[in-house]
Amino acid sequence: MNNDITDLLNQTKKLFNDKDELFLKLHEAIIGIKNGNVDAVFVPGEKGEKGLKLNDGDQTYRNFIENMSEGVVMLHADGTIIYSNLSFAKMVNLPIEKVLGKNMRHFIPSTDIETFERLIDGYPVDHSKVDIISLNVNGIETHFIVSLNKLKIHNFTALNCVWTDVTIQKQTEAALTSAYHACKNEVEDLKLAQKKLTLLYNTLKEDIHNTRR
Amino acid sequence: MPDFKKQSRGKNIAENVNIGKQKYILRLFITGVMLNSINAIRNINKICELYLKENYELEIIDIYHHPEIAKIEQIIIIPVLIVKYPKPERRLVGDLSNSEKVLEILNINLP
Repeated sequence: MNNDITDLLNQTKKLFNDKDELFLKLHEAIIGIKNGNVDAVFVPGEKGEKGLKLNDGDQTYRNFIENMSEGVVMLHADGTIIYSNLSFAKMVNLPIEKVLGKNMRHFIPSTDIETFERLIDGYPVDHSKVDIISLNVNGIETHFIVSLNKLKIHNFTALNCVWTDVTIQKQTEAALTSAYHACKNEVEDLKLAQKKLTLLYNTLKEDIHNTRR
Repeated sequence: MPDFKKQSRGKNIAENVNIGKQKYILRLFITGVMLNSINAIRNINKICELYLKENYELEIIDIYHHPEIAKIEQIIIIPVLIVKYPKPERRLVGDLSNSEKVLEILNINLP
């Protein structure tokens, strides 16, 4: 009997503690919503958790960008990565939680920093630029075509970058260039050999002619 | 306990925070490119660079990619910063623009 009462008291105490904790969380949530410095409410649902954004309309576009094979990042003007899709995180071989918040310059090798700075600087909003830049991934340089678009979001200028991996194309280009030069050298060698053969032929022909006389 | 009175802000505070101890472990939950999420990212970066230097590990988690982590962590409101270490775990909701509150949950006392 005493044990039952103790259990009941303990359960009641736990319920009160849980209630207090939940109250604090909800109170904080309400203050946050009232002050306008929160973006979304995350609530449990029957078919899984659902995030409800307080100012939304972009979910379709978000899904589209998240499913692109190209890497997409959005940068603050100072280069901080404020958004990344999964493809970009895979390109730099990091979990996405370690990409967000980093400065884009962290991923660019010193050889291409100047190109990158030129790319992000000195042109107006709603215009775009394209260039080829490398990313340093575990010490290996991989090549990308970067399309960059400056745009105004909220109260600042952001840079939208789309990264298309052209490493294979670059490698193919390098292989083709190398093969071309090898062929060219072979052709030169063959031409030289042909000249020598022609000379030899002419010499032999003259010798035969002189012998017949 | 470090004697903060003898030291200047910023660099020297960062040097004394967590000397010989485990790094701060921070998790910031955000959602997409919403304004408060962007501000939270920039504000926590500033605070970490100024006061924690390299004595921290920061994960910025977009709930779009990891709703399961948001469930485990019992996230209700976004953005929210969770200080996983040092214990006890503490949370701060909002864009982290109030640095005093952020330093408070990081247990950093300015001189």
